[in-house]
Amino acid sequence: MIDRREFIKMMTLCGVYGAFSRVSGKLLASPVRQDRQPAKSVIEIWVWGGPSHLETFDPKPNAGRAYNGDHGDIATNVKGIRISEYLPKLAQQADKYSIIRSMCHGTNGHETATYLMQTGRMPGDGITYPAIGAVLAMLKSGEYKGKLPPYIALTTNKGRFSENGFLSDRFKPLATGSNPNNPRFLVDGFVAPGGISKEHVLKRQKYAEELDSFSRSITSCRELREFESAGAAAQAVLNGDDAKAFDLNLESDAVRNRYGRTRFGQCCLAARRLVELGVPYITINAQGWDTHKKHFESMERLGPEFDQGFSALLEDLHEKKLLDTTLIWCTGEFGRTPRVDYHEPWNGGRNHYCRCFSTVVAGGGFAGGKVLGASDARGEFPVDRPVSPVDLLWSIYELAGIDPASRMPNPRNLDLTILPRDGGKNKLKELYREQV
Amino acid sequence: MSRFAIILTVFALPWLPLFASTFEKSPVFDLKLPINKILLKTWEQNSLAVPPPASDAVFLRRLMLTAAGRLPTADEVQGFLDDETPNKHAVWIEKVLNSPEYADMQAMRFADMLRIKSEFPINLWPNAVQFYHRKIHDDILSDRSLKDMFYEMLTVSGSNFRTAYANFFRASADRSPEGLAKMVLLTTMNMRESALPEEDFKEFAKLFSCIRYKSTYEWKEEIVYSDYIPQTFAAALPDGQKLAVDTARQDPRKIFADWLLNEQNPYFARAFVNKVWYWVFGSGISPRADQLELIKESGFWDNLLGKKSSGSNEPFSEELQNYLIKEFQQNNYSLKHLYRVILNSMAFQASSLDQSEALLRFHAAYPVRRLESEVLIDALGSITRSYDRYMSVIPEPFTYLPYSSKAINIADGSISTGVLDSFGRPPRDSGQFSERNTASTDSQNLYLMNSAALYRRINEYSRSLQRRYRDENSRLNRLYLDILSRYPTGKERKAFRKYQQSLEKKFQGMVWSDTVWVLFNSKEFLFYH
Repeated sequence: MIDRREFIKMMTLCGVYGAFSRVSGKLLASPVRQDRQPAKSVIEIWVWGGPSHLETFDPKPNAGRAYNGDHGDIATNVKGIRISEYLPKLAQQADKYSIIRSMCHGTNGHETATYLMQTGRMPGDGITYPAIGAVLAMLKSGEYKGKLPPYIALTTNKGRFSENGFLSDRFKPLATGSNPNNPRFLVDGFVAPGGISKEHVLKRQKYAEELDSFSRSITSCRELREFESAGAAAQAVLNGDDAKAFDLNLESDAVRNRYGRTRFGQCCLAARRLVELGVPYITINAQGWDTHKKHFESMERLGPEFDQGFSALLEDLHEKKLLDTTLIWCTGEFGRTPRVDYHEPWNGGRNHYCRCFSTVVAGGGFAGGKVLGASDARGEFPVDRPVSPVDLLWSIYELAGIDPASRMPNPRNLDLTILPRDGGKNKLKELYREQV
Repeated sequence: MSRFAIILTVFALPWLPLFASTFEKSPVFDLKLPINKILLKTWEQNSLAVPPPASDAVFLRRLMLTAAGRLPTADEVQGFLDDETPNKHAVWIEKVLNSPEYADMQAMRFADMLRIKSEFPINLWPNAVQFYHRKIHDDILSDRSLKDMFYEMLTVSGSNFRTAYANFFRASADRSPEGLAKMVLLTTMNMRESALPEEDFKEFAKLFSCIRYKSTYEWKEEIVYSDYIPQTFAAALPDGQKLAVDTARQDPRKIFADWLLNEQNPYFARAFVNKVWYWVFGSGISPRADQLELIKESGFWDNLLGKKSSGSNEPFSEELQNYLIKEFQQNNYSLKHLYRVILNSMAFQASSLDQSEALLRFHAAYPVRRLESEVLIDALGSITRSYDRYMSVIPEPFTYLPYSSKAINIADGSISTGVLDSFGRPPRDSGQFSERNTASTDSQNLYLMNSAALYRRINEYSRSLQRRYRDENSRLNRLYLDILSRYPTGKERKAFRKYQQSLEKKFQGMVWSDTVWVLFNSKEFLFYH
């Protein structure tokens, strides 16, 4: 059996270089709604592996040790909302986000559940649908003028079933690789290898022209011209400032520390810098949450870094007045079993649990300080307003200015819509800031 | 047109350009070869002069990349340049066609054509992928007749794990009779559904209505067979011939295979002649090589009224196509023979320096185009002696290719890397030529110009050059031989020295890695030329 971390490492190796470039928005303009200011960018915080809702946004302090492991809750800055004691900093930002406590679906496998949460569909119909990030990257490529790819994954991809599906490779997420918490966040291709000065690069460029006897010998043709213009576009990325979004050293120590000097924290900071450039879709794939064994010990590490990074992101975006145009959604592919398994070999672990879990939404048209749905006293089943992955995705598309019932362009020209037609219209309306 | 021809003739004079010795040389074409006679006639008819041949170094690089998917080694370049045999081109073509790498490269092309991949939408699964690819590789290596290979593919029944060619009918995204008919048309005849009248296509598809698939108790085993329940129905062959099929008497697949793989029938040979021409030149004898039309006897009146030219996908030389079809059929449908004839032709050995449309249209110039993704990545690997690692964790069982595996040897279209994808590796979903994306994109250039991973390999390679060659001249020679498969010119040596001197003392060592970087980013390296 392969170690989960090994798996993640391998996924990095595949797809660091997702092809990208811009496509005319004209052809695809139809699903984009113009009638109100939509979310410009979306940040997806993917708590990969499945976080326990009891230790995050749906604590059950009265359910007893068998369920809560003797961990309690704390008050937030919104009256009536209490979250887990693991998240004191997020408790102070509760007015900026809303909690859905009744997420549920029917699949307990990582890959299938991820696919479902990302596409709103179950696998098996012979069609691999693109993840929401790829769809938004495609539909927003008309308005996005930046030089970085429109869909960026910090720092690894989630695997093939949450990527571009049947869409063109240019909408595959650019997985940055590297670690933003390293001294240099080395995004291959975008961040120059160390030790070469700008001056040297210019000199080398002149040398290249001098050595190019081939170009001077041959007459021009379409292929060569195409290569030259692609080269110029790449040069524009290298000479331009967009790739500086990856240079976290340009932030002050105070800012970097506020996000926390962890991989997750610095991913959140990188996400904010990408939002400032207008990148339409950024996904942060948080790692290490598949806590089958010694769950509470893991939470001692995961809780604080998550709390610090996420809360800093909310606060920072708010202060920079970017939260209204930046939609954040934070979820796992499912939650974890509310009843703790204290036996060997789990020693206080929680397993996969799709029947009830929590998702957090913020900004970009979502209101803050609200709770939708509720779970029972032990967090095992929704008792009010069950919300499906399609319901959630529907609202994200809608707030991003996309009508999810519109046709999705596809190579086989099948009659496909972005989300299933019988989807989740109006299911999360009361979480919207402006009622439409 | 005639004025144009004069300009072209002047252009083609071999001694005019100063750089001629690097990329071109004086004419030595063997005009007695039948294929060259036909080309000469075609060019004369279109007022085109015989182009100068490519220089020996350019020829060898072109030959190796086209037939074996790799760059020549420095030793091979030196060996070829020093070889004084008068017919050394033909001798070296033979040498390359008999190397195992020839089979590697052709197996990759066949795997693209036959859509060999584990996963969606083909779903052959890993074991069957390896088995199917291995069998194709073996058959190409032994130059098995393509007629026999395809007869087996079209008619065999059996398990995907035990009968390699049973995978032929599994490797289709659409397994309905119509889907299989489309797949067969494209694969064996280079034609699309739209090439047949609608009614004829429907009747043709019925020939594949008896193919069945069943699973066994072994994980992902699947047996392909023809339904044995007797039935009779009307069907048609692609040329419109009506048939009464009786499944009790004959497997309908065999009816098609017997028709297709018959020397009286030019369709299969025409398809492969166009495929190989496409693999060698990036376009077919008919420009859109996998969108051929039905062969029609052109009538007296059509010829008289000049109606033939109305089709936009006509072969650039009908005579050449017919000649190659005959050669292929008379030589037992040998793939190697087809390559041999084409690689020995003037079209393959011509200079690429003048890329005028008029010349390219009639193959009076060798067309410049991008290297295939796998070939380019392998070239970077062989020069720097460091390859990527190829593996797949989905679906099970996990697949790991040995270290130093070459990208052209990846059997499975589902196994890839981001870099391979970005340089246009085909997804192998449909088997159409257009799946291989040869466009230049900015992400490719970002990789070549700015990747830290590649830069590390460049540094390691240039350090090893400095260790292996004490003297600067031989070091520069080796660098050029490795990357561009030729010696540097006097001008380039001068430019090198000038650049070296322009660097500050402490950075002077960087002249080597910078030169490697420059050549890796050069058109001469990145293109077939």
